[in-house]
Amino acid sequence: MAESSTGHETGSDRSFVSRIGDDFTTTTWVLIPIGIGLNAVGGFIVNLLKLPLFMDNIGTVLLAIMAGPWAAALTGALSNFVSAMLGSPQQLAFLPVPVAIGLVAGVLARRGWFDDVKRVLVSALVIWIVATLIATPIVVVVFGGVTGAGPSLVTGVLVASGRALVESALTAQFLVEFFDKGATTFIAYFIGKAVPPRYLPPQGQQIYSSQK
Amino acid sequence: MNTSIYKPGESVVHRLNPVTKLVVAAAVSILVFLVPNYRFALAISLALFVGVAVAGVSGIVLRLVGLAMVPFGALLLVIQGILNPANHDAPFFVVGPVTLWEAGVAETLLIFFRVLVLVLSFLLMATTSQPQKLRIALMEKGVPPQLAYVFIASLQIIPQIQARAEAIADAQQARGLDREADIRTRSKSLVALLAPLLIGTLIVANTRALALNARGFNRRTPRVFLYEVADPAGERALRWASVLAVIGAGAWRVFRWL
Repeated sequence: MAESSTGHETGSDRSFVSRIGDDFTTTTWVLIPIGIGLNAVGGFIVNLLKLPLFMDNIGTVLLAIMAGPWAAALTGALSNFVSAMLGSPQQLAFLPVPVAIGLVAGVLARRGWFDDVKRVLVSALVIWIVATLIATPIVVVVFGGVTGAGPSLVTGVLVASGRALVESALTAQFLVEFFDKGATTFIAYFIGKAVPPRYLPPQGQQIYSSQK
Repeated sequence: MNTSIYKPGESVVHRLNPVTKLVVAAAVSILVFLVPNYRFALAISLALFVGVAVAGVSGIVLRLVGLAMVPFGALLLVIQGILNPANHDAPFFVVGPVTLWEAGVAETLLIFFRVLVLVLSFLLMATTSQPQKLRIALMEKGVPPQLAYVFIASLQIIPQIQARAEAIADAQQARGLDREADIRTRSKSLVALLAPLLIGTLIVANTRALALNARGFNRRTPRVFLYEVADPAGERALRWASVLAVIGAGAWRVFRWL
C-alpha cells in the first residue's frame, strides 16, 4: 500500500494520541469509505440471498481486522452518519453500537483473536455480547422497545406474557444479534481471508499471514 | 454523482450554514429526550414541518418520514399501549379482548414525537445541505480535512459499490450461485459475493491512496476552498443558543433528579 505502518509494534513510550495518529495513514483514510460502503451494501446482499439479517457492520469488522480499533470505530460512526444523510436518521441513535463493535473487534484483532477460525468464534461471541448490551438500552429508552419487525415481534410476545419491557427487549436483542453479529464477524473474517495478501493493508497482511 | 437526498433550492433553510443545521438538528433531538412531555416534542415537530414546507422539500421528507414512522408508530402502540405490563393502570379504550391503556398511550405519544423530531430534523438538514458545502463548513469549523474527505468519499462510493455488487451478483448467479438453496448454502454464498467486491475496491483504494498522497492529502497547511460558505453572526448565536438550551435542560434534569 502507499504508506506502511504495521500498527502491531507501537512504542510504549509514545503518547496515546500519537499512537492513535499512527493508525491513520493515507491507506487507512481510503479504506474507511470502503468499509462504510460495505456496511451500506450488506443489506442489499442479504436481501438478494433472502437471509433474515441486517449485516450492516461487515465493513466495520473488516476495518478492525485490517486497520485497527480507531479506524474501525470511525468507520462505524461515519456509517451511521452517512446513512442519516441518505435518509435513515433513526440510525444516529444507534451510533454507539458500531463504535463499540469497531473498538472491540479492533482490539481483539490486534491481540490475535482473528488469527484462526477457533479464535474468531471467541471474537464473535464477545462482539455479540457487546453489541447487545449497548443496543438494548437504546432500543428501550429511545424507541420504546420497538426496532425492526423481527425483534419487535419477539419483544411483543415476551411482553404479552407479562415480562418487563427491558427484559423482553434484551432477550429479543440477544437472539437477533446472535445470528447477525456472529455471521457478520465470520463473514468479515472469511472475505478478508479470500483477498490475496498483496492487496491487503499491513495489519491485514500480518493477521492473515500468521495463519496456516 | 452521489446518492445523498439533497434537493437543490434557494430557500432560507437552504441558505443556512450546513453546520448550523447540523447543530440545531442535534440540539433539538437531544432536547426532546430531556423534556419528558410529548407536547414539547409535538411543538418542535410542527416547527420542523414548517421548515420542511418553507424549504420546499416536503415530497421527499414526507415520503421518508412515512416509511420510517408509520410502521414504527403502529408497533409502538401495540407494545407500549396494549402489551407493556408496566403501563396497565387505567383503561383508555376497550375493543373486545383488547385494552388500550392510558399510560401506554401517553408513553406512545412521548416516544413517537421524540423519534419524529430526530427523524425530521436530520432529514431537513440532509435534504437542504449540499454535501460539498457541508464538507467545507465542517473544515472551516476545524474538522480535519481527512475526516471531511472520508464523509464525501463515502457518499460517492456507495452507489459505485452498489453497482459493482449487482454486477458480481449477476456474474455469480451465471456461474451457478443459487438464491433458492437452503439457508446454509445461501450463507456461504455471502463470501462468494463479498470477496470479489472487496478485492475490486481494495485495488481501487490502493491507486486512490497514491493519487491522494501525490496531491498533498496529508499536508497540515491551511486549505482554500472552491465554494464560499457564509456564516453570519446570527447563525453563530443560534448555534450557541442551541448548545446552551441542551446544557440548561440537562442541568435541570440532573437538578430534579437529585
